Amino acid sequence: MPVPASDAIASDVGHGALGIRYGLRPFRDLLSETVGQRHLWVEMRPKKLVTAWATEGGGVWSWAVSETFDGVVLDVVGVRTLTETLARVEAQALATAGKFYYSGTTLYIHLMGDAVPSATSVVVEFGVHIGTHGVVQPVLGVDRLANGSFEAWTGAAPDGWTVTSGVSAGTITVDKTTSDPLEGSYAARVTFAAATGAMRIRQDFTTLVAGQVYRFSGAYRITGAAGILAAIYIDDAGTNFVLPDGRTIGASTQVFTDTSNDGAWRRFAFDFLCPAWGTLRASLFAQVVTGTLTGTVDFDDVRLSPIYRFAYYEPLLNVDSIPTVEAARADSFWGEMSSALGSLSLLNGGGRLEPLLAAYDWLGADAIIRVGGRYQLGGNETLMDDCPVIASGKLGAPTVTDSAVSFDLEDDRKLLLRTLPTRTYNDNSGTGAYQPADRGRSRALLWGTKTGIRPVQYDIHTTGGGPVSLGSYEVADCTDWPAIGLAWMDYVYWYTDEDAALVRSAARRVAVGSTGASSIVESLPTGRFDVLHDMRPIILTDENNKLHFDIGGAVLVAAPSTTWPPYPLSGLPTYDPTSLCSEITYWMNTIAGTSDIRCIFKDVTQKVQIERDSGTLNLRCATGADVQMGIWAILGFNVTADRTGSLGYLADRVFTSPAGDQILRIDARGYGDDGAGTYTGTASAVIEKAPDIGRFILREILKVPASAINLPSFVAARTGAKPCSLYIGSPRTVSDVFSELETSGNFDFVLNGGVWYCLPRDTSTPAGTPALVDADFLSFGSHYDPEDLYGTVRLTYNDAPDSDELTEMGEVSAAAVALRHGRPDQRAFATCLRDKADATYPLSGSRLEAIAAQAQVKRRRFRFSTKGKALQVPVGGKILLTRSRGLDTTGALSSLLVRVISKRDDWTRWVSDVEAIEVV
Amino acid sequence: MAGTPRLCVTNRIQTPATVLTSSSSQAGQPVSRLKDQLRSKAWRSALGWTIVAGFNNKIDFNRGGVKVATIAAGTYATGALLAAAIVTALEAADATPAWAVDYNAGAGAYKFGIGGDLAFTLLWSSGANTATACHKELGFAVSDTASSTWFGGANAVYQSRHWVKADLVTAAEVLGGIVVNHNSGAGGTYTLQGNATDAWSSPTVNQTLAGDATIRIAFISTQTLRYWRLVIDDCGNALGYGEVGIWYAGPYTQPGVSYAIGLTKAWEELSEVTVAISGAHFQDEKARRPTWSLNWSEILEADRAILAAAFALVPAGRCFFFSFDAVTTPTDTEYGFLVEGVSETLTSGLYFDVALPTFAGALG
Repeated sequence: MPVPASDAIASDVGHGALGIRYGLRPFRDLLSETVGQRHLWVEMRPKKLVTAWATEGGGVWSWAVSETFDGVVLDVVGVRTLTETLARVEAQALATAGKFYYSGTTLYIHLMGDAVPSATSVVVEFGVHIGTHGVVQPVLGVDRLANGSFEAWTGAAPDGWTVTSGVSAGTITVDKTTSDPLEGSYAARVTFAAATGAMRIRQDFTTLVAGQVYRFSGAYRITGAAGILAAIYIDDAGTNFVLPDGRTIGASTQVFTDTSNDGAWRRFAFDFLCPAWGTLRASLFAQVVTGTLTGTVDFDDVRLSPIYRFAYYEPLLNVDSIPTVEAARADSFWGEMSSALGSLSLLNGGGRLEPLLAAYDWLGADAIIRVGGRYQLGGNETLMDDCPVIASGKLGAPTVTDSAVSFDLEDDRKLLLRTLPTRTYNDNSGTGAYQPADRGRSRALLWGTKTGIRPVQYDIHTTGGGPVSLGSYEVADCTDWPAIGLAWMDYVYWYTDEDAALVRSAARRVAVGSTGASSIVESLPTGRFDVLHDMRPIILTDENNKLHFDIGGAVLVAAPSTTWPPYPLSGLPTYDPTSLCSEITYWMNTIAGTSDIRCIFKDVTQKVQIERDSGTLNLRCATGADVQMGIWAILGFNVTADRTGSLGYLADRVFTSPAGDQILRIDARGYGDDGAGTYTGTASAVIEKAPDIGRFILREILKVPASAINLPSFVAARTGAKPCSLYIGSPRTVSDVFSELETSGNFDFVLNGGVWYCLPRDTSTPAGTPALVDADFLSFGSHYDPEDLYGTVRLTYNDAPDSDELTEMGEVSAAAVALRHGRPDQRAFATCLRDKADATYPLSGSRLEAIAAQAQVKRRRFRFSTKGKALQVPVGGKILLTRSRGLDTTGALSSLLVRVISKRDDWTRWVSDVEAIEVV
Repeated sequence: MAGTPRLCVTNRIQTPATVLTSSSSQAGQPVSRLKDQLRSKAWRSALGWTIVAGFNNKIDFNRGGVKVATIAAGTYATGALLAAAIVTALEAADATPAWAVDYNAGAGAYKFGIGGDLAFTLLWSSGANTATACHKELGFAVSDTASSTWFGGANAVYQSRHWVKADLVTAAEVLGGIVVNHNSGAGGTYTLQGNATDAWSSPTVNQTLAGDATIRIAFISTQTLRYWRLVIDDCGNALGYGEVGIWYAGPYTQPGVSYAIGLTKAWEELSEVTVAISGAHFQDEKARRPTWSLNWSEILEADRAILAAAFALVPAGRCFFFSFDAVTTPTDTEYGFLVEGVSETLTSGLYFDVALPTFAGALG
C-alpha cells in the first residue's frame, strides 16, 4: 500500500553507488518507443566574480569556497577569465596552466602564463541542478579516452587504442564498421570467423587520480552464434583488477560479461574508485570461450570520465514551461539560420530561490539541458552518460514571483547573430588607427589567398632617424591566433593612386616581396609589417627621365630606362625591380665612362644624394638642355640652380612621403595552421577550406570549446572541399558568413545537442536516419513553395576585399523553369570559392551547376508533427517518410528522403513539428 | 481498513531549532537534507566505512594478555583502506605479531580476514569495549573467537554502521519514529535511540523500527528527551552507503475513534496520452499518485478538537504521516499532504463530521 519512493529512478549504481550496470537499452532507442518515461535535467551555472585569491606558488592561486545553497557547498563547474576558459582536473597536482581543481572546499586555479588573477577578472561558475525528477546524478568531467567514438582509424586499427588478440582457432579480426553505429559514422567491430579466442581493445592511463571516482561507459552489440561474449576490464596492466563493485581489487575478473546476441546495442556504465596504480588499463573485450563460433561484437561511444560529484537534481522543473527548441533556415538553400529556446520556469515554493538568485550573476549564465528517460514496465533508465544535451544556452534575467522563477533562454545558436570581425581600431582597446578615416574600422579577418588587401596603419615607424615617419600596418587581426598568425605575405604593393590600386594595375605599382627586408619588416604571427622605405612608384617617361651633369667637360645626359616597370626610389629587395637610384647610378657611369658615381638614398635625411669619389661632378639642374624633361623634381633637387663645386650633392627636399599618402595593397595568405595541422590536417598549411574555416571561427574567434565541436564531421567534410578566399573587413553576422561557407562547400553547419556538426548535403541516407510511418504522424501536410525555384542562378566568388564591384561571378539560366512554373526569377548565391574552375567555369562540375540543379527542379515540401523519432534530427538532417497518403504520383510516400529546413521540438510533449524538403 | 489511525504532524527533526549531525555525509547530500519534506532530497553517508570514536572504533583481543586496538577515526572508502588502518591499530596495541588484515579474503566474497603470525583471540563479546567494537563493520558475529592465527569474517560487508543525530535543543516529546526513502531494501536495521544527554552507551530509548523496503516505523511510549539518534546497521548493503529521505521523530495525534467506513482510495493518473492521425497512441509515462478520501463521522467535540489541532499544523502541501492502523499494521502508514482543507460539520448538538477530502501521496 505505501507509495513508492519515486516513479523513476532508484538510488543505486549510477547514482552514487559504485559498480556496474550493463545490458542497458540506449537513449537512441527510447525515442522510438511509444511508451516510456521522459526525464529532463538542467544544469544552470550562475557566476560570481572572485577577487580574494591567495597564492599557492608556482602560478597556482586558491580561494576557499563557502558558497552554499540548501546546506550544500556548491560545486564549482567552471572558471573563466576574459581570455580563458579553464579546464577542470581531478587533483591539485594536475592544475597546470589553463586548468582548475576544486577540492569541494577550496578552488585552485592556474591561469595561462602564470598570470595573476588580480590582473584580470576571474569568474567562477557554480552548478545548480534541477530536473523533472528528484534524483542524484553524477557530474561528469571531460572524457579521458582518445577516439572512444571510434571515428578515427588508420587502416584497420582504431587510433588511440591498442589491440591484442589470443586466437586458438579460426580468425579474429578488428576493423571499423558503418553498420548502424550507435553514434557517428563508425563503430569498432571484432569479427569471429569459426574462431576460439579473444580480442582486447585497450587504452592505458598514467595520470588518473587515485581515490577519484571515474565512469567507464559505452555501448556494445553482439550478433551471431550464442556464446560470443562482450566484457570490460579495469586493471593495472594484468595483475590486479577492479572488481564489479567498483571499489575492491582482486584477481583477474571481468567487470561484466554479456552474451546477449540479439544484435541490439546495449550500454554499460561502470563507476569505480581509481586505485593507486601507476598504470590503469581500460579494456573492451570480446571472446569465444568454447567452441568455434562465428559472429561479431561491436563497440561504440566509449568514454572514461571523472565524476566530480554526485549532485542532487531537485525536481523543481515546472513541467508546463520546459523550453521548446526551435531552429530554421530562411529558405531551402543556405539561408541564414534562426533559432529560439523559449523559457525555463522553476517552482519557487517557500521562497528558497530568492537568496540564490540574489547572490550570483545569472544573466548570461550557461544552462545545459539534457534529456533522458526510462523504458516501460520497469525497463532501464538512461544513465547520465547517455542523456544527450538537447539544448545549451544562456539564461536571461530571472523573473521572480512567489510561486515561480522564470528565465528567458538564449540558444547557443544566438552566436550566429554575433558580428565578425569582433574587433575594431579604436583608441581604447590597444590598437588604434593612425589615419582618421580608419578609426572605428573593423580589424579584418583573413582565410585563404586574397589579393589587394588594404592594410590599416596602426602606428608609425621611423627608419634611421629620418624626419618623416613611415607606417606600421596590420593586414589582418591575429589576436585570436597569436602563435601562428598569417601563413604568408606574398607581396606588398605601392600604387601610384587609388584608381590604380582598385584595378590592381601592374603598370602603376611597385611590388615588394615579403622577404624584402630592406623595404618592410613583416611579422606573420601578428599579421603586421613595418615600412622601412617609401616604395612609392615612380613612372619614368621620355618627359621626365633626363639627368644632366658633367664631370669636368661637356654636359652629359643620363636617361634611365622608361621600359622598366615603375621604379621604387631605392632598396633592393629580392623581388623588386631595379631601383631608380641604381638605374641612375648605372646610366651616369655608363654615359660618363666612370665607375665611381653613385646615386643613393640616405635614410637619415630621407634625401637622394649624388656623389663621386674623386675628380669633378656637377649637376646641371637648371642649365641642362631640355631641363624641363629632367628628373630633378622627382629626386628632390631644385631646378633653380646647378649644383657645382663639390663631389656630393644632397637633394633639397626629402623623398619620403607620409605614410598616409602612400597607397598600399597586400597579397597575402590568411591564417596558417599550426605544426599539428589542427585545422587542415597538414602542418602549417593555409586554412582555406570551408569546413576548416568554419571550425576556426567557432573555436578561435567565437571561443566555442572543443568538446562542443564534432571533429570527425568537420574532418570528413574537408575531403574534396575546394580552396576558399575569405576576407572579412567590414561587419557581417556569423550567420551570413556561415551561409557563404555552407554554399561554398555544400554542407550545413548544425548545432545539435550543444555540439556543432558539419553535415554534407548529398543524397545519401546516413545510418540511423529516422524512418517515419503512418502511425508516427500527429499531423501531416505537403506543398510546393515557389521560393524553391529560380529560372536564373547566379554565383559569386572570390570577391575583392575592398570593392564589391570586383566580385567575380557566373550565371546559368533555364528557360523551361519560367515556362513550366512561371518562375523567371533570379537568385544570387554568394560563395567564397577562390578559383573560377571550382565556382563557375567550366560549368560541368562547378558549384554553380550543382546549385542550379537544385534551384531549377521543383521539390516537395512537407510539414508534419511526430512523436519522438525526429527529436534528435537537426535542421539539415534527414528523415525517411513513408505514408499511405502523400504528394506523389502514386498517391503514397515510400521511404522518401527529406531534409529538415525548420523544426520545433517540444520536449514536454516529446513532439517535433517539422518542415522538410525532398532531397534531389 | 480501519483500526487505530494516527497522524504524525509534528516532525521534530524538521523543526528549525533542531541541530542535525551525522557520522558522515557526502558533499552533495548533507544531513540538513532531512529538514526538507521532499522525499528524494536525502541524506547520504560517505561511501564505505566511517569509523567514529566511541561508536565503532575498537577491537578487543587477547594475545599474551587482553589488549585493545583503536582504529583511527575517519572515512575509508574501500575495504583495503580500512584493513590497512586496522593493521596499524593492531600494531599499536601489540607490536609483537606480524599482523595481516585483508578484505575480500575469498574471491568475490567481500569479507574481512584478520590474522597474525601468533595465535590470538578476538573478544567481540566479552571485551571491555564491546559497545564500541567494530565487529559489525568487519562482518563478524558478536561472539568471542577461539585462539587462532586467522579469522575470517562471517558476512560480506560493504560499509559501516551510520548514525544521524538530532539535538532538539530542549527536551521534547517523541512517540514514534518513521523512516522512508531509505536504501536498505528489506534488510538492515534502523534503531531509534533517545537520551537526555549526548551519550549513547545505554540510551533511554533504543527501539528498532519495523518495516520493509518502503518504510520503517515504530511507536513508543512517551519520552521527553533532548537527544535522538537514528542508527543504521546495514553493513551488508552492497550500495556502500546509507541513505534516508525522511526521518520522522515526534508525537502523534490519535482521535478516540477511527475514521468512518467509506474510505476511498483513488489514483491520479499523471501520464499523458497523445493520439496520432492513424489512431495510434503514445504514452508519456508518469507516476500514479494515490489519493485517499475519508471522514470521521459523528465524533465528539474532544475528538474534533484533536483533529482540528492536528490538521492546523499541516496546511495544504505540508507533508505528514498518516497511519491508517497504527496498532495492527503500522506499515500501513502513508506520507502525503492535504490537497484541500478539512471540513467540519456539526451534525447534532453533540456530534461532528470531519471530512478529509483529499490526502495525496507525496511522490518524488
